Amino acid sequence: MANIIDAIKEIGTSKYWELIGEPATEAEFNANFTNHDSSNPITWTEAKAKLDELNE
Amino acid sequence: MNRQGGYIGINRTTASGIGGSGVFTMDAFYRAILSETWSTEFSVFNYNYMGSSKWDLQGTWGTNSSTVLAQDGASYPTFVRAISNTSQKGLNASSWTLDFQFNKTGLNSNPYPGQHLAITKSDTSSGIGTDLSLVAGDKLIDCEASNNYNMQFTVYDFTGTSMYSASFNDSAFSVGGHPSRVTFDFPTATFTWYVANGTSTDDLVQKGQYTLSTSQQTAMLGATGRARDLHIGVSGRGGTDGVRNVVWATT
Repeated sequence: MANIIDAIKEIGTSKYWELIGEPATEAEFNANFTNHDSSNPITWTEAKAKLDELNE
Repeated sequence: MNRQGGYIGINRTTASGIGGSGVFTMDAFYRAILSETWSTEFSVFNYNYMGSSKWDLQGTWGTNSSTVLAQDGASYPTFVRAISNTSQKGLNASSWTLDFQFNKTGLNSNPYPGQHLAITKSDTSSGIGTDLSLVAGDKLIDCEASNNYNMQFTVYDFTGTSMYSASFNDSAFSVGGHPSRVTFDFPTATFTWYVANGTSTDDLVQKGQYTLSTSQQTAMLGATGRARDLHIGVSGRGGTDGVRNVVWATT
């Protein structure tokens, strides 16, 4: 089963990011996801949608 | 041994003219040993030569040379194909540096490419031949070269849950020979991840860092950081690519 890290990787737009833990909510995601590639933002909505797609 | 004359002496190295001399009581020596403050010889586990004398291997290997360990075949499974045939408990010291190279990454090869180097608690009997993605509970750290010129670093909690991950993409990784480095500092219990988009260790740049909490460190590595037997596991893609020049050493 894919996790949120797989989802971020699958989106693949950000060239450099860090993530603490495996966030399960938008609040956790926003608190623990650091995107160093500001020109390619990734939102919780995108990541969650990709995660659901991977786990279909 | 009685209490009289209970001394250890250290001679100066007269040939080189360097070094020092000193006299320690046996009591002081044993107290230092017990408290692990006595300086011990640094441990260096140099897996380069990457040959089978240093690794337990499975399957057919396209390249098993002095510097490259690469899986044979056209597909790119993430099975663990090589595990260091000696385990280390924190390399007999508490801080260490792991250097290695993935040959290269690419773009849009599918499936792509299952090229991992992981520090695991698996021994050769339970870890080898197993898909790294399925033995997440064995992993402490996992470094991956993956699609889209990506390098990835993940710290796991030995239950398969990621505590920290970092990802860095650079098209320079399409060329082989880029060094990667992971350090573990003790007693801060801090992992630091470096990658180089050039081909020299001078090009290494820090791209990630995670510090274990005290409870995490105690549970995973023991209070002294060396209670756990650790191995290096490698899975690789086919052809002439692979993992190179692995050196795991105390620092």
